[in-house]
Amino acid sequence: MMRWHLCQCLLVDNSKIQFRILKETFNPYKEFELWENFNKSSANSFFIGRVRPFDQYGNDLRKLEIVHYKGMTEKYIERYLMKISRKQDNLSILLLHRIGFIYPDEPIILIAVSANHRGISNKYLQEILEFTKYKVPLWKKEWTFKGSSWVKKNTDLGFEL
Amino acid sequence: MKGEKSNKIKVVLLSSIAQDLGWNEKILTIEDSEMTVFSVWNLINSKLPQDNIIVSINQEITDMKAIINPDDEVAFMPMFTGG
Repeated sequence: MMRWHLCQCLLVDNSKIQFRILKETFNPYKEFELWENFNKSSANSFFIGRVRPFDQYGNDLRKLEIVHYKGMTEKYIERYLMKISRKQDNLSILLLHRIGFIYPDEPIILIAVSANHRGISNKYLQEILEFTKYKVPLWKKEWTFKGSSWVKKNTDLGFEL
Repeated sequence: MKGEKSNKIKVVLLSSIAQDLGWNEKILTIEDSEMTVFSVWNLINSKLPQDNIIVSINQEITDMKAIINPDDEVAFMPMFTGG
């Protein structure tokens, strides 16, 4: 299987940041395993977001398309991850995000955070995920068997905070 | 030419805005030295409302009142829906 290599590994104080925008699908477990070999700590949080099999109107989904603003998307992710790394020592972060055409059940996003305590790794995992939904130049278009439509807004968190 | 003053800007449209207006990128000539993002929006668009539009200059988010300089890259994009 062809695999890509992480292009960025930024060191901010005592923290490590790795992220990449991917045009091809990936195996999140393999990526996590590889990353964790060098970044494991006492608390390791892990999130995989996958394509739903239906669109925002409930129709069967054929594929999802994600577009980005090349340059700006990478800059906003990098700046944000560096900011949280400066707030929190001994944090390791991996963020992979797909663009292009993605099919139902395929992974869209992988986030992994390791820290010294579970509260810290879970907190930043959630924060990074919400950041990618609301603060990064990325847009989703849903393709069904009848046509396509841009996603109007993000799905709810799934529970009340 | 080196030393010659440019009066060009690059306009970038993304996502549904690019689809609705039918193009992704254009080079425009600016005549007005006090041109704002809003005036570029009015120049390129006659049908879309400006509600919920995110704008950037040189890939930094700004607002419709910001002044544009020659060689700037101005972008118009809808609300983000990634993650």
